[in-house]
Amino acid sequence: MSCRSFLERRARLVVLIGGWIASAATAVAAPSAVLPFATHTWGELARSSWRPLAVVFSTTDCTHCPAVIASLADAIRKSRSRVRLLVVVMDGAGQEEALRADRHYRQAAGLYAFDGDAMALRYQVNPAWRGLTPYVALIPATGEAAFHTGAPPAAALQSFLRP
Amino acid sequence: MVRRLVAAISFAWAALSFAAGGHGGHGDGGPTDGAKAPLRARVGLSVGAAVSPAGLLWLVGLNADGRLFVQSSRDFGLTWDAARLLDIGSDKVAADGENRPKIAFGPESRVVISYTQPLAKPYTGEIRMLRSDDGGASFSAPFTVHRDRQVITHRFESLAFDRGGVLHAVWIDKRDQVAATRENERGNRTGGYAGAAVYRNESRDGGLSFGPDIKLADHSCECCRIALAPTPEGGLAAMWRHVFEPNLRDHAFAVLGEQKAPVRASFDDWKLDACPHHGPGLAPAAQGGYHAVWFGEKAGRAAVRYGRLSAGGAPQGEAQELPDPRAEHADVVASGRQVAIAWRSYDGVQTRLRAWVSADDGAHFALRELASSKEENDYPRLLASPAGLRVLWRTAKEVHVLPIIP
Repeated sequence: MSCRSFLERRARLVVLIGGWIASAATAVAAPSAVLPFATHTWGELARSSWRPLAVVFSTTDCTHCPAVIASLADAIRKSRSRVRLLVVVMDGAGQEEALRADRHYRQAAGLYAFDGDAMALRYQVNPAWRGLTPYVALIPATGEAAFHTGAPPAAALQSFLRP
Repeated sequence: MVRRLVAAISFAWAALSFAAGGHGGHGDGGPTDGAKAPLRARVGLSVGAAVSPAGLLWLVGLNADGRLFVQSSRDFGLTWDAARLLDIGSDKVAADGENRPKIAFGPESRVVISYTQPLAKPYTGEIRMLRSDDGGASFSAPFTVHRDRQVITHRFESLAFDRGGVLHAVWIDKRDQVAATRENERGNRTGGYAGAAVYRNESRDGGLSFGPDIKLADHSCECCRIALAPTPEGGLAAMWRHVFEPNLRDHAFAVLGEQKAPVRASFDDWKLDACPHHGPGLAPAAQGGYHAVWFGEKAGRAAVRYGRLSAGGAPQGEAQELPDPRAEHADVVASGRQVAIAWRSYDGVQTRLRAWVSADDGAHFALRELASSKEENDYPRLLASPAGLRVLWRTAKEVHVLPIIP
């Protein structure tokens, strides 16, 4: 075995182990920051190499949202898929500390708050969205996002998690 | 070769960084690129407005620094007196969407201002009030309106004086939902408690003291504003989004103080396990009964609809969709036979302020384009003033006060 081949194999091993650790850590890591969901964010998410993504749009007074976040997190965990769960708290700006401390949001891999005109941001996500929450976008690895008001139907979720 | 090794280690490190923090560092064109900019704190634009007995337009809201202010205008928004900051100590004020500060004028120079104060625990709040006995020249320190002091939901208040000068406060309250959950945990009860409840109380001295908290209805929707309108008898009627069996988020109606069960006021049959964040509007009709506007989904079609209600709150005739499929957060006002419904509508570029106006008590309506803005903006508020109907619309840059002529 040449020195070059040896180093290449080592490099691939490092990548593999790093990926495994990252995957394992992602499943339990809580967001350490609240990120701005600005005018460009939806477009970035929709074409991100992070896909597949389950994105829950929530508000601080949405009483239905915690259960939907929890059920999605549970479904993702049980499916062992590489889907990442993101939560966007539409009215969360200025409340970052409270959001980070909120146990409901700790199940997400990423936590965002609207940064700008809520109507315009909603429109960018989906012009048909009338502001109801929880609003769930299931973004597959390839293809268009599917939108659901409230918990996604079981069949749609299964199909998304195990395409 | 060495470059590949370095790149591989860098990749693994980036992956670990993301996993540990849930963000940052990967630079793959992914969703955290926006994180380079800090999250900007927002100040809610939602305002309350009312016309004083002297005919001045008063406005209460948060200024750019997030401080509660009150301001008045003698010419309906052409010019404004200097804004006055109100001393509310360390209170926080919800002024976003369905939550907004409110102001109401009563007899004997009484003025009250209310707001919901969000508490540290999620989904909780309390209704706070400031009062004035000198026509708004000075205000008291804030106090809590309800007797229940649990750290639970007391939010989305509405308030108004009736014709007899009694001050009524109505709000969304979760004490019964919390109690039901507790009883479930103790094994004394099974089954959930749908939604929240609507509670109210009364003050006969302009907010100096309040009577007991009185339950108006079980099973309201949790996060929609409550509409109030005067009754012909001088009392107040309320309309709110309700959770009807088995799980229909339609609307209910009740006259405050009447010992009657709430009446179902809309029949969209919207089955939903979500928060619409979209409460109704209510105004008295000249021919009796009420004009009502609400958002809902009927047979799969989401729309803001207008309907007539009887004096008891039951629907009369078919509800009509507003002539704008993107209409949201409509308000309604009436003065005699003049009726106006105003709403906002976003088209992807700008928000339009539009109105549907009637000169014959709602028999016929005409569409009016009132204003537009590319700025962030509040829901429109309608007012009946001695000078006619007005719509008030706050954008990030200004407050529009516009006449509506049917």
